[in-house]
Amino acid sequence: MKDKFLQGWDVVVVEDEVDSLEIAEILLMSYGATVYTAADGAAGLEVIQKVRPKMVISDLSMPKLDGWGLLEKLKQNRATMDIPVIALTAHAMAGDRDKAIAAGFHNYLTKPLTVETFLQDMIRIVADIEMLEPFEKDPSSGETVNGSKDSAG
Amino acid sequence: VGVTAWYKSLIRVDYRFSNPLDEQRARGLITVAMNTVIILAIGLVYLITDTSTSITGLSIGPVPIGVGDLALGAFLFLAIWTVYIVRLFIHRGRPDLAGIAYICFVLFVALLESILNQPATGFVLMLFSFPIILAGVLLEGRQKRIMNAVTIGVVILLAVLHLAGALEKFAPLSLSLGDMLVFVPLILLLQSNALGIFSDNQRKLLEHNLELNRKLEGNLEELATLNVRTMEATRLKSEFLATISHELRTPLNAILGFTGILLQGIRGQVDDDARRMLSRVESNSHRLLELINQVLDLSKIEAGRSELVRTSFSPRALIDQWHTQMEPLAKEKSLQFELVIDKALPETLVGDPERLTQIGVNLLGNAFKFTEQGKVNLRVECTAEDWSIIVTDTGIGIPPHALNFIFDEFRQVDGSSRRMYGGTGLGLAITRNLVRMMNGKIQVESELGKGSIFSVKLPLDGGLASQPITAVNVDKVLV
Repeated sequence: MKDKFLQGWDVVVVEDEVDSLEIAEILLMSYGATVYTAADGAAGLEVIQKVRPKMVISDLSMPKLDGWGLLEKLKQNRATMDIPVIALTAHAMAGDRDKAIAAGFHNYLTKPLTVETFLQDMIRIVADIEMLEPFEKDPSSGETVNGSKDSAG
Repeated sequence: VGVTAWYKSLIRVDYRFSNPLDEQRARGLITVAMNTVIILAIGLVYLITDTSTSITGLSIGPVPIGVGDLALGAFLFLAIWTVYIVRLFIHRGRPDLAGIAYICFVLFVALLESILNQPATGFVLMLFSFPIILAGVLLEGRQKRIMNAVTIGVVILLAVLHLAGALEKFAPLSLSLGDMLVFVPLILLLQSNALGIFSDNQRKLLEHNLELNRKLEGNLEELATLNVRTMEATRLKSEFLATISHELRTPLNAILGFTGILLQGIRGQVDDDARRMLSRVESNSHRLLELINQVLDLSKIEAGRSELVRTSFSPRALIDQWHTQMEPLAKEKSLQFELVIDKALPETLVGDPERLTQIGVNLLGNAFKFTEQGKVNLRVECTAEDWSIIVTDTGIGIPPHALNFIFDEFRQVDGSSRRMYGGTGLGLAITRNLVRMMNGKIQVESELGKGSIFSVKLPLDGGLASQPITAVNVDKVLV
């Protein structure tokens, strides 16, 4: 895309479905991001700890370590606890979205990932994250994010 | 015999008993009551044929009637009720109580006779006739007939002995002709029907009925099992479909994702020809995705895993939203799109607005799809209990034979119409199931070439539907 609004961002995508992973990778790269990928939660955790990305996009159901487990591990570590993690939820699993927000995911993306919706969702999410930055150390940041996301939508 | 036949025919009239055993009991009671009446009538005859030839001053014509005769009449009266009670106990599986009742009765007779200072005629008769009567009652078929013959033989023997004067010498049995007159018909009456036992034919009929009932119950049970199995099969089928749908969507989403990337030129521009073909890949993939989503939706509804949301919403806003959504379709085909909302429609209703939209948009979508000229009318009516969404079009209409399956899965009027108009053939099936979940009704009226009217009637309270949808027949078809 012409609009490289993710220029300079390191993004880690954790997803066990290779096609979904590649689509996310291509799209994020087209927005200017530097993308790191992992095919399961355990590998994802390793990459995240090494890269310290600005944002993590993670599927929920994965082998070895699932999205929930990955988030828990990230929140336990002081170095990674503030990295916003975006949940990838299946369209059919509407209940997962609220659960994901409640669990501490920064936001969610709905699968299938299409060019149009992914762009819109990413713009919204990135705006949220950038708005959040001054309050990054605020422990109640999850709620703030949620509120601002709703008003943006 | 005549009287017996008459009241047997009388009690046969009433067949309203649901349980044959109740009927049997009722017949027994009626029979005993009838016998009581007959005995009382005999007693009355005794009383009105007053003569002074005996100690009691009673006689039947030339035959004098003693106190013993009257006592005998009374005892027989008691005997009938005793036999009835004995039979009841036997039928309830309490022969011990039956035996006690019989002994009590015989002892009572003996007591009465000693009080009346009479020879123990009744006592002896009871002692001797009762087992015969009971045996005759409890026995079946040939044995019963033999027992009847024995009883009648004994009675005749007694009569002959009496007439020959032989019984006078047997001290306790000073049987008079009056005794015989009372004894003979009554013992026959008791034998034949005092116990409410039917003739063999009636008994067979009853047993046949009971057998039929048992078979019917068995069939019902079988049907219930079959039904459970069918429901289980439907559930498994739906689960399978849900799984398959998910498995189908995953690769399809990959196709759509990569096609989108190529079409957007994210990885470099593609030439026009390739772009045209990629667009075809994309639109066909979207169609396939829609079909899969509908299959998944339907299977979830059928598996009872789809739940309705209950929230308050504004029906007017909802209908306006449908109108806005459908307007481009109307413009595209230059069709009139009318909207009429009943003033009585409440400001807020409770229900599932998303599912309602699915219903409304589906019906409207069909109306626009199958109408080439004229108009589509959306009318919302309201009564005290329910509200209706009525979609009328001036389209191609539905042939009468197709009205029967229009709500079935994968059914359009014929294959050619599917090719011509597209669609999955699942829309109406989903709509019908959703309407059912909301405790509503869907109806269709149509005239070929003139148009169709689809009306959905929903309860105003939102319809608490908790049962899964398993049946697949049409609610009602109006032609």
